Amino acid sequence: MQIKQLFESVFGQYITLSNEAVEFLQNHFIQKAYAAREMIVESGGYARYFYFVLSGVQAIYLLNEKGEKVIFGFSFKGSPSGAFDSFIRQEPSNFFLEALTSSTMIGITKSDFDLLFKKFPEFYRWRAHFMEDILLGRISREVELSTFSAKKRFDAFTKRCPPELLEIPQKYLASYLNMTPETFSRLRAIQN
Amino acid sequence: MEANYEKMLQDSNRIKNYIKGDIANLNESILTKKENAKKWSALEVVDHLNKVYDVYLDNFRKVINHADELPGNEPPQMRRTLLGRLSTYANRPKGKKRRFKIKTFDFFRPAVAPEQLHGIIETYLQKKETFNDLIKEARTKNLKNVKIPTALGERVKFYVPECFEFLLAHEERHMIQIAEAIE
Repeated sequence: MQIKQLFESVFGQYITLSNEAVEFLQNHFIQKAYAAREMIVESGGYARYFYFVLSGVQAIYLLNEKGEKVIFGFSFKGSPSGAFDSFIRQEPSNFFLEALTSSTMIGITKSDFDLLFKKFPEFYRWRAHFMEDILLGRISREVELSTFSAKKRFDAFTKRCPPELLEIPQKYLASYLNMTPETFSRLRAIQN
Repeated sequence: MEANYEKMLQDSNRIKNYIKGDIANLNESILTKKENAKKWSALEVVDHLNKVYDVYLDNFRKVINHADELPGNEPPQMRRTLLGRLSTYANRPKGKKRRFKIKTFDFFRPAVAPEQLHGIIETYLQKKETFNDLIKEARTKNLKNVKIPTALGERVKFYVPECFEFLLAHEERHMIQIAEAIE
């Protein structure tokens, strides 16, 4: 995915991007490459960047009391990514962000992120929509997790998820859907 | 069994953030305070940890550099030795209590010279960063059957992941000691 094209698709649907704003974005978003299984942010570490994904799949998770990974979400081509708790507060993260496949991302530091809104206040409109989308997404996931059966959660997920997500190890998808890998595997076999 | 490097990294960062956030900015008088001549000050504890890292970091580096990459998405496996299990158990504090009295080897005893005071914590944080990097590198290597020498004796070797766990348990023990020293 081209970087300019990404900016257009992410910001352009909410605001008219001026040439100055595009130039700012191009100068302040840095391209980063991560190998498969590389840790981008670790629990107790700091999230230096807010990202958009050019390629690859990443998972955000934390460890439960038994030390097991609990997957909270994925990012993939065209989506935002990062450990937002740490990025926003500039405090150690509670989450791990890991590249599950070889990934290319563009990231902006917190100081440059803040500067973007100072120089181009129209980006607050994008920010409001971004926050709304996140909130609605989390509400919808809460509803799915607390009211849907395992089969219904699986069906809803496979309908909306991009194809590259179905290529990652099943244990991550099973954890995200709050089911055992065996249940996930069984539901997948029925679907196929 | 699967090696939980993420848990090790999380525990290691918690220790690092405690030293960086709660200890590093304390006054020198608090950092060097000793309850009595036999007890260590907070700074002496950190100096002791630096000496421990001096022994182990190079050993980790050598074996991790030479280990094979794990294929595809294969999870890293680990094994434990009996002595490794016992050493980790004996070192890991229970709540805020250090359970077993363990005598320190002479070569690990702290020796804090007045002119070195300011560098000790910085040195520790650098070594801690290296330790964390080694854990991250180990995540993608096949280290299941690879052992490294320990300071417990020439013949006493631990498997790499269990040696990370052992050092973290040892550090947790000393974090309790630091908290007691600055009280």
